[in-house]
Amino acid sequence: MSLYVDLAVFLAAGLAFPLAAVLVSKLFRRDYPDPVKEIAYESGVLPIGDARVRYHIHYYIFALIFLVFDVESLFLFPWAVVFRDLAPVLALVEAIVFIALLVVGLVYAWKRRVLTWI
Amino acid sequence: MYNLTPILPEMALSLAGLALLLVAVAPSARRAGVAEGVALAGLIAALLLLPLAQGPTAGRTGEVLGGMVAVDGFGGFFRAVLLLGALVVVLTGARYVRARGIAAGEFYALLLFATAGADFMAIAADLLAFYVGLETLSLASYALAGFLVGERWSLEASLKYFLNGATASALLLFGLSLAFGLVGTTSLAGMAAGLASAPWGGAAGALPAVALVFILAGLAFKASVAPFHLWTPDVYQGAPTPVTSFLSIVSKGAALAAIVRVVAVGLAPLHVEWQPVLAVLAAFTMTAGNVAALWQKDVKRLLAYSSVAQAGYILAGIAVGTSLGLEAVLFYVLAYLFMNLGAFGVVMALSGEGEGETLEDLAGLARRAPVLAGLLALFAFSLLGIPWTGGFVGKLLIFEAALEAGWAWLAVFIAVNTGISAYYYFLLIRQMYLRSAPRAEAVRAGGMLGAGLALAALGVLALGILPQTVIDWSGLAAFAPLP
Repeated sequence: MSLYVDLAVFLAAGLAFPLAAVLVSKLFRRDYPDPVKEIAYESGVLPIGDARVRYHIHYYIFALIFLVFDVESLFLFPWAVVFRDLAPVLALVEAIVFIALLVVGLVYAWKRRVLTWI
Repeated sequence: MYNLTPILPEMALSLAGLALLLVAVAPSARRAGVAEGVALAGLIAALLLLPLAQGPTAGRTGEVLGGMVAVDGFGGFFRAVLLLGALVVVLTGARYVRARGIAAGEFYALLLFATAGADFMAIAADLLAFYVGLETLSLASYALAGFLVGERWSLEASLKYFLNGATASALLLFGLSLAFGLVGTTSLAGMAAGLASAPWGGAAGALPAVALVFILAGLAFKASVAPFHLWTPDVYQGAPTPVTSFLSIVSKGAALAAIVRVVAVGLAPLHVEWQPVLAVLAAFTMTAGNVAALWQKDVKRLLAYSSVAQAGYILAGIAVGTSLGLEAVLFYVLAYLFMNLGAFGVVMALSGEGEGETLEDLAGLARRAPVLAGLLALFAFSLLGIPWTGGFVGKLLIFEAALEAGWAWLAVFIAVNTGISAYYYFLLIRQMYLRSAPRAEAVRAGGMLGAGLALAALGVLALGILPQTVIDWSGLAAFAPLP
């Protein structure tokens, strides 16, 4: 039961914090509306043209390679956490085999100049 | 630690595949030659490691790697067939790959990865191992079908194969998840035990049958069993011919092995349901394949429909559900390996030289290349089932098994279909021997292509003339979990 009390406290605190921040800034800030402030945010650069542009096919391959290493780290974290409970040499060899497989893929992609921006 | 010996052949294939990826990007002037060498070395190493992986007693049944993989005669036999098939594909396809400017490193790497996946389908003792094997095979195959970069038919083949294959995978997964939900295990043996002991009644009584339908539909797609075969002619025609040859034997062989593993073993308690379904599918498949083949003008399309029909004969052997039927299936698959790869090999001998692949292009081949024409005639005879060829003995065994198990109507279908198929197989032969050639220059077929064709011809003849030796072998290989 006390778990649910904890949960309720977290929920209340979680809601109170952003609300308080907005409220406090509302009290102290000055209010100068400006059309420039209304434009779409694009990392500080003025947005040009339609938002629906054609992306280079290259993005797709970057995404794929990123995904490979993303998933790799996803597998390696639990491996590192339980490393002490595994047979150390075997676990190390298994992880090295796993990484070596990915390295071959990376070497292939690199040499095929997939990683070069054109 | 797991004992990895049972999967040594697949490890050899994967290593060779990785090496090929590096060959693909290594600075080399003779890349195609090196890639062929590595691919052949990988396949031969896998074949040599197979007896070691199978262990001393060929007939034993045992599950290894945490119950993922079964080491038994059936799996060993199919692994040998798949590896041998891939080997013949590389031998006969090498010249085509070079002539069409296909990126050799990537091509052979995907071919070996696909073969490793096919192997896992043949030895899977668990749905997870089976499905991972299936997807390894399928994903590599989709890419392989589109390897003729810049040719729209190859691209179409790849896309069509991908869309159909993805649909099939979805159906299959849905069926497998239903089956898993019913028995609570992914082990095939556990599934059979669970289905046999559970008292199905009321609304739940229909669920095993629903799961069966979805699993069968998914596998039928992969094995191009009618009415799920419609992608076959387009993909077989558009894909590079070595890939067509690979799909027709390695991909289809693995799918048929999976039908035996998943349906005939995992769903064995449902045999009253699946036997008639498989029998009807078999009859429909051979008829649809043979009748459609009658109108074809393109040799690859013709062979595509022919291979649909051949899958029908093999399925008939599975449907009869006896160990005699299974023995016949093993024999037929081996014969089909040699005769089908041989036929595609001859097509590659022509198209590798930049010639067309229509029936017209075969005209007068007997005068231009008597040996090639003779070989294609031999393979066509075997596919038809003329005595003294492996195809004849295989068909006879399936016919006998069907009669013996009381499936007389199925046997009649096999006989009638053989009659129908005679028309188009003889059309091939008439084209080569009775028509005059539009060109005069000879077609050369030496080197690896010649070796591959010789191997296929030898196989067809050995199976036809000395079948008893092989029957003894496949009799050992057949396991008898069937009810």
